[in-house]
Amino acid sequence: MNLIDEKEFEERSDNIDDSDLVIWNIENDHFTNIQKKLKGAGAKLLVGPRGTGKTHQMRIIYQESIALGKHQSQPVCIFTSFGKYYYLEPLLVKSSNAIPIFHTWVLCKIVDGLYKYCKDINHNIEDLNEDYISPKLINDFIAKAEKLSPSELTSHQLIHEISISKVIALIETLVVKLNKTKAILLLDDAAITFTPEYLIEFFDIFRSLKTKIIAPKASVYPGTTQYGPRFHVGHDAEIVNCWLSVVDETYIAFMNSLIEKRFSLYTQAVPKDILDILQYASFGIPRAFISLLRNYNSFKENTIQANFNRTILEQSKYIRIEYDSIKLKMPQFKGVIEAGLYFFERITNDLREENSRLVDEKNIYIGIEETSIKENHLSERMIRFLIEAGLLYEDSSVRHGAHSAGENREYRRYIPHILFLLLERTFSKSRGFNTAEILRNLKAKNKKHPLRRKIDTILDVDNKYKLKLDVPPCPRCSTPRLTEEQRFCHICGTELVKQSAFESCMNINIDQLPIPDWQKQRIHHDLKINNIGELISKPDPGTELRKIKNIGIKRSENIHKTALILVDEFLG
Amino acid sequence: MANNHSIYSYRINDYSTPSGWTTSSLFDATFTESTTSAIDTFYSKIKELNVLILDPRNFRPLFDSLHIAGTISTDAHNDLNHAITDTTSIKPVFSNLILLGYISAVESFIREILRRIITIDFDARKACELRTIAYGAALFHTPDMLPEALLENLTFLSRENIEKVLKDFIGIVKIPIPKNISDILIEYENVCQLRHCIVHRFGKLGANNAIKLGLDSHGIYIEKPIKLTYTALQNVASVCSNLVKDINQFLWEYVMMRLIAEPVNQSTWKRRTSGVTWAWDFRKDKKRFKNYFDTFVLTGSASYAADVHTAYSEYKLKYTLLP
Repeated sequence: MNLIDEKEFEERSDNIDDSDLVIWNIENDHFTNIQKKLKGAGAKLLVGPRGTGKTHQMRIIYQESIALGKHQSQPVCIFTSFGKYYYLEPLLVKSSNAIPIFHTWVLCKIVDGLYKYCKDINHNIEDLNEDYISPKLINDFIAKAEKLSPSELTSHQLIHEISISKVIALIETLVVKLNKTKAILLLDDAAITFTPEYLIEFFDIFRSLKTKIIAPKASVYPGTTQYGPRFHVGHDAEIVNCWLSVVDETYIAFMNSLIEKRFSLYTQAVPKDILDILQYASFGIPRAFISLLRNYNSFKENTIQANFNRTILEQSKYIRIEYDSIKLKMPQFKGVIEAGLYFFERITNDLREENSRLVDEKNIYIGIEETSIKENHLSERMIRFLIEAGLLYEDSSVRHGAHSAGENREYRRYIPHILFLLLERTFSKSRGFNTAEILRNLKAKNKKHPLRRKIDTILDVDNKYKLKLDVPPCPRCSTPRLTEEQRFCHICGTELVKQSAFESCMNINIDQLPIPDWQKQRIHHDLKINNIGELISKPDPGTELRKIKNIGIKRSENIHKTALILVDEFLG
Repeated sequence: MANNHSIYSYRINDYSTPSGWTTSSLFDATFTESTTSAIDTFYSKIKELNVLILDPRNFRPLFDSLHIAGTISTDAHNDLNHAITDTTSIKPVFSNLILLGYISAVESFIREILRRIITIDFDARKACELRTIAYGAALFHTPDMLPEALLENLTFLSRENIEKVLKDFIGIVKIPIPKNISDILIEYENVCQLRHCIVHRFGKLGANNAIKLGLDSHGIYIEKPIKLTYTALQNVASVCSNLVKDINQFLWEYVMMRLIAEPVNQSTWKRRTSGVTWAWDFRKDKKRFKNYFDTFVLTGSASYAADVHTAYSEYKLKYTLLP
C-alpha cells in the first residue's frame, strides 16, 4: 500500500481537492465529447448511475472556468448540487406548500452557486444592484431546509421574493457585467428519484431556466422517465450518456486511459490479465474500478485466484447492499425492489447457462419482450430500479420473428452487470481458474440475438405477487389501498396518511447507534433524548452531549458524527 | 272562430305533466345540529362523499353476504369486487357531482366555524354586532344558530371573498391571512372554476373559466367536457381538506392568541394589558377553555390526536412568555 498515495483512492470527486482535478483529467473521445456537450449551448442531461463520473465532469468544467476567470470566451459557470433534496421529503407529508418550499430551495441553491462563482473569480456581488438578493437570506433558507427542521420555512421571506425570472435576471446581469456571452448551470445530483413530486417540479424549473444566454445541465440517473408532464426529454434537453457501455468499441481504451492517468504506479502490483478482467467487472463505472483495484491490493489471500474471487465477491455484496437500501427510501416499492433482485439473479443465471453452450462467441444480452413488460406497470418500474442502480445497462430494442407470421415481437435489450456474470463463472468453461480463458471469452464476439425471455417466464409466482405497492392500509378500516396516489379510503372515506421515509429514519432509536452502551443510557436518561431526530435537531448537539458526565469534546463529536453518518447512509 | 286568434301551436314536443313538487316535506325536521367540531363535521361529509365514488348504492355488503351464504361463488365474488374497485369505470357525470359535494362541504365548514366562533368569542361577536340579518331569520333561528343568518348572502368561491369574510367576521386586524392559506385558496379557486362549468354548463369548459385557469394551458380545452379521474377527484378532496385544515388551524391560533395578546404588527404580539379572563388554573378555566377547544379540535383523525391538557399547558406557557 505504501506505493500508492492515498489520494489516488478517493472515489467520490466531491472529496477530491480542486487542484488535483485537472491533473486527473482523462483524455479520450468519450470524455472529451462529454466535456464539449457540457460546455456548449443548450440544455443537457448528463446520464449515468452513481460513480460514472458525472460530478467529476462538472467539477473539471467549473475549475477551468475559474482558472480562466474573467476571460471573455469563458462562460459564467454556476455549479451546485441537489444531493440533499431528501431532507425536504418530510414536507411532502405535512405541509401543503411543500412544492413552493422545494422550488425556493432549488432557486436558492442556484443563486448560492452564482455567489460562489463570483467569489472564486473575485467579483463583487453587490455590483449586481437591483437583482441582488442578500446572501445571508439565501444561506439562511438553505440551512433551514437542510437542517431537518424545515417547518420554519413556511412563511420565509424568500418564498415570496425569489422567482425563476428573478434568478434568470440575476444570471444574465452577471453575464453582461462580466462582458461574457453565456452562462452554464451545472446542476449536480439532480436525479431526485426518491421524491417524484420534487423531480417533476425540478425539471419544470430546469426547463424554464433555459434562455438564449443560459444553458442548464443536470446530472441524472439512467432509467428515469418520469420528468413530469411538461418536460420532454430530447425536446427540452439532449441526453449525454456518461455511462459507457462495456460493448462500446472505445470501452477498453477509456478504461486504459483511466489506469494510465491515475494508477500507472499501481498496475505493477496487479497481473495484467486480472487488471483487464477488472476493467470489465467495473461495468463502465470508474468509481467501481477504483474500488475493485483497492480491494484487490488490500486482500492478502494466498493465490491470485482467491484474491480475485474475494475482490469480486466483496464488491457484489456492496452493490447488493446499496441496491437494497433503496427499500428504505421508497418503502412503497419494497416488493418491487425485492422482485427486481430475483429477476436480476435469474437473468444472470440464464445467461451463464446460455454461455456454457456457446463456442467462440459470448452472449451478454438479455432481451425482454416488450408486451410482457407493459402488462404490469410495476414490471417497468422494477426494471427501472435495476437500471438506476447500474445493475442493468439498457441498449436499443430489437425486433424478432417473422413479420408475416405475426410473430414480430419487440424485445428490450439489457446487459446485466458483468461483475455478477463473472461471479457466476459465466466466462469460465474449464474447471480451474484460467484468466486468459476468461478474458478470451469476455472479448469474444457477441451472439447475434439476445437471450429472449418474458417477464412471466423469469419471475416465479411469489415474485410476481411481489409486484405490487407496499402502501400502508387504511388506518381506520384496514382496507388496502387501490392506488399509490389514493388519498382517501374508498371503503370508509378516511383520509389516508402518507408515510415519510425520512421521518422513520429520524425515529431510529439511539440504541441503534454504534456507540458504547453507557453512552446510550446517559443520552436517554440525562438528556431525555430517545431518537436520532431529537439529537441532531438540537441547535448544537455537541454542547448538548457534553452535559453528560465523562463526555467531553472528543466523545461528543464522535457521537454526533456517528449519528450523522447513519442519517447520511440512510439518505445518501 | 276562436281558433283564428290562437297562435301557431304545433306540438314540437310532448305534454308536460303535474310534477307533484312541494318543498316543505323535503327536509328532515328531526335533525339536530351535532356538537362535534366544525372540522369533524366537514370530515364526516367528505367521508360520505368518498365512499359514494366507487360504491354509491352500497352493494358491497350485499354481495359479501351472498358470498358468505354460498349463493355466489368465490370467483363471482372476486369479479364483483374487481368491478366495484375499478377506478377507471367511474362515470364522468358522477365524478362531477361528487366535486360539487366537496365544495359544498367546504362552504358549510366556513359557515359553521364562523358561526361557532361568533357564538363563543367576545371579540368576534363585537366585530359582527353592526351587521344586519333578515327579520325572518331572527324569528325562527335559535340564538346559537343566529350567526348563520349573518352569512346567508355570502358566497365562498374566490380567494378574495373568503379572505375578506374571515377577516371581517372574526375581526382579524393587523395579522395577514397566512401565505399557506392564500396558496391553497388559489388552488381552491381553480376547483371552483370547475364547479362553474359543472353547475352552469353541464361540465364543459367555458371561455371565461379557461381564462381564469390560464388560457395558455387551457385554451385548447374550451367547450370540452371535464374528465375527472379517480386520482384527480382525490386531489380535489385533498385541496378541500387542506384548505379546511389550514383555515381551522389559523383561526384557532388567532382567536386563542387574541384572548391573551394584541397584535403589534404583521407578525408580533404583545401581552394584553387588561381583559385577560383566564385564571391559569385548569380546574377554573376548564369549562371555557374546552368550549374553544371543542370548537376547533379534530377528533376523527386516524393519525393525529390533539389533547386538551397539553393544549392548555402550552397556552399558559405562551402567556407567560409573551413580551
